[in-house]
Amino acid sequence: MDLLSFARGPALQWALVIFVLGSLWRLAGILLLRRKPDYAEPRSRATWRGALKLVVTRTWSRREFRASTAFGQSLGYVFHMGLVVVVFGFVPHILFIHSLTGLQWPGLPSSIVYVSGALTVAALVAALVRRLSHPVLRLLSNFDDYFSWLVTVTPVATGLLAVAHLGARYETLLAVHILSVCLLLAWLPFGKLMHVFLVFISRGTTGALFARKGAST
Amino acid sequence: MRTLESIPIVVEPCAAATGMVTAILRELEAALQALLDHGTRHVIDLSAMPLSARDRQALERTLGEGELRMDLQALGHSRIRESSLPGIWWLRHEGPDGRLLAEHIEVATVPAIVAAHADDLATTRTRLAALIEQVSRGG
Amino acid sequence: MNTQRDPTVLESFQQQGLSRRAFLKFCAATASLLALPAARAAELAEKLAGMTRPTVIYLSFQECTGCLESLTRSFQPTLESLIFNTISLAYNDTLQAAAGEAAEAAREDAMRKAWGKYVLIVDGAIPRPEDGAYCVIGGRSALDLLRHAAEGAAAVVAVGTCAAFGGIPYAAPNPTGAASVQDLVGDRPVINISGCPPIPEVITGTIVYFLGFGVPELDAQRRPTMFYGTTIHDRCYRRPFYDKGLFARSFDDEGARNGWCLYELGCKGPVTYNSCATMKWNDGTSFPIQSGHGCLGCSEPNFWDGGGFYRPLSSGLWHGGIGEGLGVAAVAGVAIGGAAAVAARQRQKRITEAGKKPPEAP
Repeated sequence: MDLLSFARGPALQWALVIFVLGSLWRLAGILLLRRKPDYAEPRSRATWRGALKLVVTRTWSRREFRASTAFGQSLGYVFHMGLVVVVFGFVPHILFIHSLTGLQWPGLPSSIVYVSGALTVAALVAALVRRLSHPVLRLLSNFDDYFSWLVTVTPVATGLLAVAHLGARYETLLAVHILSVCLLLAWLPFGKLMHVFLVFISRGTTGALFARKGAST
Repeated sequence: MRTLESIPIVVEPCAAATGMVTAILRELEAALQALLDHGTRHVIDLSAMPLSARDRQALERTLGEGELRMDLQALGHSRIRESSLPGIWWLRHEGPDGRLLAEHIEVATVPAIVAAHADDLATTRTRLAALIEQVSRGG
Repeated sequence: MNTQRDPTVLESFQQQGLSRRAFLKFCAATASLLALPAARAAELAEKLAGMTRPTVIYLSFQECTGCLESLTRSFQPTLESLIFNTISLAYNDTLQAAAGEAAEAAREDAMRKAWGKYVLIVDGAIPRPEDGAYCVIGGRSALDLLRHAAEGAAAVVAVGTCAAFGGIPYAAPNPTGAASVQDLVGDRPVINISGCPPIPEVITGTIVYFLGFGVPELDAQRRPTMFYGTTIHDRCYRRPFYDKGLFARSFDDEGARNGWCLYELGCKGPVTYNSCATMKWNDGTSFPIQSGHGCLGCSEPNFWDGGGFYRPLSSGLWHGGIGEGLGVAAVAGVAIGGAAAVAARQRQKRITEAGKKPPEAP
C-alpha cells in the first residue's frame, strides 16, 4: 500500500473513529454533569435570552479592553475565517465531506481559497510569535497550546504546498496533507481545539448564569 | 432554466498569445550570429514549444514567405520553405499517413536534410559508372 | 540473421526501400518526440546510422496483448512501426511467423548470440507461487523464462502497467500471486514504461533513446522522466477550470458540456504521471479527458485498487463504507462520556454530603 492509499484509507478511517468517539465522550461527559443546585431566588427567568445574548456579545471585546486585545483578536478572526473558507469552500474538501456525509454545497474559486490559506498560515505564525514574545501569554502557555497550534497549521501549510506542487511530488504532498488532517482529527477532542464544539456551550452557560443572577454583561 | 440542448459543447481550449513568438525570434537572432561566426546550424523544434494557434499565425506572418520551396518525398511528404529572411528555413515533416511528424525552423545556408550525403555520393559514383557502361554498351 | 555482418539501422531502412532522408526524417521525428535539444538530435541520427540493429527479445506473460496492439495497431507505415527497422526483433510470440519448438529454439539461439547485449522487452505480470505454474510457455514457467532472459539482457524494458507494477493480474486479491518485472529481476537495469496500454510513441521513443544514449533518466518508479515527468493534471487543458473551481458533476451536465474539470467525477490526473495530455492518442487525436472522461490513473501502481474510477481523489478510501465504524465509535463515545459523568456525579454527591457536615480540617 502506498502512502496516499494509507492516508486516504486506514489512517483517515481511524482518525475519524477517534474523532467521533473522543468528541462524544467529552460532550456527553460535560453535558451530563450534575449542575450545582442554586437555591437563590432568580433575578430573571429569561436565562435563554441571557445565554444567546452572551454568545453574540462575546464575539467582540468590551470597549475598555479593545485597545489591548485588538491585535490578538484580529489575528484570531483572520485565521478562524480563513479556516472556514479553506475547509468548507475548497471543492476537493467539499467532495470529501460529501463522500462522508452526503451533504454538498457549491465551492469557491480555488484562487480565493489559496489566498485565504496563505492568510491563515500568516495569521497563525503571527499568533505563535505573539504567544512566544508576550511575557504573560508565554507563562500561561502549555503543551496543549503549542501542539494544538501545530496540528492546526500543518494541514493548511501542507495543503498549500500540495496545490503549489512545492517540495515533493503531488501524491506525497497530498498524502502528508491528509495525514496531518488525521492528526488534527485525532487530537481535536482531547485538547483546547475541543472549543470547536464547546465555545458556544460554555458561553451560553455563562450567559444563562449571569442572567439568572441579574449580572450586567 | 437552460435546457441541456441550449448549452453549447465546448471542446477546444482557448487560444491566446503567449509571448513565445518574441522568444523564438530572439533565439533565431542568436542562431544566425552563430551561423555567421562559426558556421554552426541550429534547429528549433516547434512541436516542443507551447505555441497557441495565435502564436503560430503570428510567427508565420512575421517570418514570411521566401523565394524557395522544396518538396521532399521520403517517408511521406515534407515541405521545406525559405522564409522571407534568407538562412531561416521552415520545415514541415509529414508521415506516410499525412500526420505531422515534426516541425522545425532551421538556421543554415541549406537545411541538413536537403544536401546529398558523402556516403550517397560514393554510391552515386558507382551507380553512375554502371549506368555509363550500360548506356555506352547499348549505344 | 545469416549475413556476414548485421546491417546497421540506416542500412535496414535502405533495405526496406527507404532513403537516407527518410531515415533522417525518422530521427528528426523521434528527437522531437523525445524533446531532444538540436545538438542531441543530430547525435542521435549519427549514432543510429552507424549502429548495428540490436537484438530484441519480446516476452509476453500475464497480459492482454493491448500493449502490443498499441504499438502495432496501425496498418500504415507509421512512425511507431518504423521501430522494427531500428531493432532486430528475434522473438515475439504474437508477431513471429514461427511457432512451437522452432520459435523457442530461435529465441534461445538469438539470446545465445547476443548474450549480454540484447534488449529484453517484457509485457505482462509474472505469477510467482508454485514455481510459476500459473503461466507456462513451451513447458517453461514465465518466472523461469524471465529470470533466464534477464540475465543476458543489456536492459529490461517492462512495457505496460502489468509488467511494470503488476497491473490487473496483481489487483486484489491477486489470485495468481502475480509480480512485476522489477520485483523479480530488479537487480538488472529495468526501465518501466507503464500505462494500460502505454502511449505507442512513448514505447518507441524510450527504445530509440536507449539505443542512442543508454538508460534514460528514470523517476522513483523507474519510468523515463521525459515521458513521466509531469502529471496529467499539470498539462491538462482543463486545468484553468480546476483553478477557477468549475467542475462537471455528471457526465451530461452543463459543466461536462462546457468542458469543465472532471475532478469531481473521479479524475486521477493529479496523481498520474504520463504524457497523455501532451502527446495524446491515436495519432494525436485526443486523450481521455479531452473525450470527456476522467483519467483512470492507468500508468500508476495499483490503479485498479484505487477505490473506484469515479470516486473523487479527495474522498476517503474505505471499502464497504465507514458508517458502521463511526456508529460504533459514537455509541462508545457517548457510553464512556456517560460513565464519566456518572462517576463525576457520584463524586459531586459525596463532596456535597461531606460539605453538609461541619468541616474537620481546612
